[in-house]
Amino acid sequence: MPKVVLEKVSKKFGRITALNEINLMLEDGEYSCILGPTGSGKTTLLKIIAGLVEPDSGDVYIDGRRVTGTPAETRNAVYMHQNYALFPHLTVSQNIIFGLTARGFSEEDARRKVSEVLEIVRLREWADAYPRELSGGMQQRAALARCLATGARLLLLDEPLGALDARLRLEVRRELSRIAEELNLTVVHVTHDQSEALSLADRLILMRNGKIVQAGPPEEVYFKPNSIFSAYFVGESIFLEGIIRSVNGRNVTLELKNGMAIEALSDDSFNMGELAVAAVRCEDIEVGGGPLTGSLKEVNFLGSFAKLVFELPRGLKIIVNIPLSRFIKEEFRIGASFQLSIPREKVHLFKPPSKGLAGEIEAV
Amino acid sequence: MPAVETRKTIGLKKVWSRIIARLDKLSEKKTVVYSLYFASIIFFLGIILLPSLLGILLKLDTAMSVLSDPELLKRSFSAIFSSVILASIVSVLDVVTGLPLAWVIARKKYRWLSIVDSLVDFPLIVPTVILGYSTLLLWCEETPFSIIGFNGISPGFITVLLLHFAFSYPVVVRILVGKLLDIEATYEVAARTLGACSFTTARTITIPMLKSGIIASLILSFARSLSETGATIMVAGSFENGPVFIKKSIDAGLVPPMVFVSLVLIVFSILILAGLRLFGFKLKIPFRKSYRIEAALSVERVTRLRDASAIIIFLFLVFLPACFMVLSRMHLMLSSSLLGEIFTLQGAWFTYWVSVLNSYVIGFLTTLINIVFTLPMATIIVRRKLGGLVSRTLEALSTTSIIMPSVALGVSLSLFWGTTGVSDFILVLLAHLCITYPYMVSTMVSVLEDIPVELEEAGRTLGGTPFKVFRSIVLPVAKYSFLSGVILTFTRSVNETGATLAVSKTFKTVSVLLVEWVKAPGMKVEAGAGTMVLMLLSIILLVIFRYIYTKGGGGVA
Ligand SMILES: Nc1ncnc2c1ncn2[C@@H]1O[C@H](COP(=O)(O)OP(=O)(O)OP(=O)(O)O)[C@@H](O)[C@H]1O
Ligand SMILES: [Mg+2]
Repeated sequence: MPKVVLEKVSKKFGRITALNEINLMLEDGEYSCILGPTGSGKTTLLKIIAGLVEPDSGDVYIDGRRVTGTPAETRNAVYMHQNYALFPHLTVSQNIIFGLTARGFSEEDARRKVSEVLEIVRLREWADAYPRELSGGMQQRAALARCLATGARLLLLDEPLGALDARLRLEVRRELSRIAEELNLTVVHVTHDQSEALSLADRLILMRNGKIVQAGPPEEVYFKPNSIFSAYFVGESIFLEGIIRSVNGRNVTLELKNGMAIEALSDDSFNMGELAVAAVRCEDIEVGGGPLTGSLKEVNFLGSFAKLVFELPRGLKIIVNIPLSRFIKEEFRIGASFQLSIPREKVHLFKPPSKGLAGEIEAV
Repeated sequence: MPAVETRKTIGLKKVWSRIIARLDKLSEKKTVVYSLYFASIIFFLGIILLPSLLGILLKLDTAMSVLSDPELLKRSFSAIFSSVILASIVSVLDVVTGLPLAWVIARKKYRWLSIVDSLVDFPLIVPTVILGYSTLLLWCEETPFSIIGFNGISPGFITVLLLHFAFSYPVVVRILVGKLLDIEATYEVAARTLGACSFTTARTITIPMLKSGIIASLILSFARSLSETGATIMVAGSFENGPVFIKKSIDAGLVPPMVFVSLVLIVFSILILAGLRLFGFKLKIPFRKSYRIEAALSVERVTRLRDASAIIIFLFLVFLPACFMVLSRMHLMLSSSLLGEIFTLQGAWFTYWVSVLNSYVIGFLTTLINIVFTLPMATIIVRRKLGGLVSRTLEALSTTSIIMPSVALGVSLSLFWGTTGVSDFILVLLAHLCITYPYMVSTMVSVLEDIPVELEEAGRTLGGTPFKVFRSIVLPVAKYSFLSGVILTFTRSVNETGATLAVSKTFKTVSVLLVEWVKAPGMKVEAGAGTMVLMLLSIILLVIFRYIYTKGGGGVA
């Protein structure tokens, strides 16, 4: 029952703080995706769970057992390196056997296991090939097979699909989730790709600067971002700065820099006259019937949806994603003026960041 | 009968696998691993470093007397200066001319290359002093080139340079071939399909990847040139470098100049080598540009010319000096009844075979012990197991004992161990450990440096203990480099003379015996025959070893 718990785990490399007091709990059988900008400490987190890096302080528990300081090979957690780290001098099946003999399998059992996992990842015919003879996708699957064969129930995957092309990525993504389901694995999967994270994860963990910014089911992170960074990094949002002009119970009005105003819902943390930042998903903005008026500057057709860029007075820009069905029904002429509205429950209000909005987003 | 045998081998296999399993289990324990690190440091300090230095350091006070003698001081410094200049020229020449040959051996697919490959090790197994003697015969006394009007040169700087080039060249080629074979040719293919010509590819892709190998080569050849004594004296004429000066002082019964020059050489070399390591790795080879001349240099005719000249340089400046002594004595050997007596085990030949046995036993033990202790050491150095400062210090110190002139090393060792009453056999073993230790460390370090860490990490998280990961991943992946480390260590031990002579009066290795024969008036033919037999034996040994090694590697179990 690989339940993973991290308590106040910190790690520095020289002057760089890679992890800063991380607390985390992963349930048995859960598929977690770690998402975060480069250098945010994702790899370090995985390696600390795997036992390849020791934390400076804090503790790691697997299955309720404190494993801090124990060697990697005893943890029953397999870490899969970004570029697979297949042993170049061994064939696919020998690569797999390595982990099996290391765990004391008899030769016969090992052979059986090899064909079993090669079946799972569909590489049966390639058992005797060397890694260099495999395509990128096959190498990925071979590396996965090697991890699976060990029988470890905790899989730590560092950007496992990073080196694959877009089509293959989708395919392997589906396969990964099937295998994890079938074998009831606990998986921690690091990725740069938010659609990958959203589609695979039971739990999404968003990291930044060595800290966990938000963790929860992907829908929650998506629909209820707890910070400007969350809203920025997951999904596509626009950010509007303004001043709170009225507070009426939970209903507030935000006056934007160009004098236009939008309605929003807030908890009672905002007062009249305070500065605030509103984050809105691009697909939550409606074209037609709103308080905002802008002229259409740009139209990008992106397959299943279209991206419209509107310009409002005083240089304000609003990006709206509309579904294809609507895009082909109506006429969107560049230069034409449109009304835009935002449902108040779709507006997320945040305190202005100390570095300013641009600083907060650009620091990513 | 066969049934019994198979049962026996199965029994052996079982014992073997049980030992392996045991070691696997042990290596899992942190205490064991750290004790191993600790032991390797103790070994290094207590067996290698301190004894080599302490004998000298104990006499440190006497060195001051040199400072007050301007004449002696001037001579000392000019000797030191000559040593450093010589070593620099030799190491650069080695790499510049050795790289093309290593390249040909590692990358070209001609059948006959495997012969060249084996010939490269050949000069390594000739005792260095014999090589010196042979060099003297070839270039000065009995030069065969007189038929083309070359009447020989008199011994001096040039002959020393030729000698040093000859004995360090094989080391460099061995290291570079190992490296090139470990680096996958795929990178080169990739770069060339991207449009780079072969010369540009070499400069921008392969050579930077070879960097650790090139640096190891520079260090070893530099140090070896700085420390060689016995053969250098033979060909030096009036030229005087550090070791020659030291040997002369010792022969004259003067300890202070030896202490002084050894110390200055050691300090100097440590600085130079540390600088080389520090800046060598930072040094970036210009990367962006692609020079037009490179395309010209990549034309097939030019590369052929380069390959051919690499082979010619090797044959004439390295291989020929190595075997000239035997060749020039061949007609005498054939016309005497001597060849028949060699295997009779009588008289002088009995002594000969005993000394051969001695040499091989010492060589074998030296190699084995060094492998055991340099591995943890290299791990500490490369993986920074005990922090960066410790690593760098250990790395700089670990090459000290090849910098020491071998005679000075021998004297120092016998001063250190002399009072303890250990047997000559042990003394010789200790001396050989000191001399070969740096070869093993440097090779191991460069092996570990080039293994991607992620392979080790993958091995560990798949459940492999450190020992299993080492044995079935690190070693096989770096097998050629490891092989060259073993060959260098073993052959260096077999051909060592200076320090062996200095520590032992009774225990004779074959190199010592052959030097005695060379110097003895009536033994010219025997010396030639003995050298030839030793070469043949060593070649057979190397071939067998290589065969076993390359066939045996690669399994997972
Ligand atoms: N071995 C190391 N030595 C020094 N610094 C390190 C080391 N490993 C990581 N770091 C630093 O720690 C920080 C976090 O690194 P980490 O590799 O965990 O980031 P990451 O989120 O995986 O990034 P990426 O998405 O680019 O893979 C980075 O600033 C990195 O430079
Ligand atoms: Mg990473």
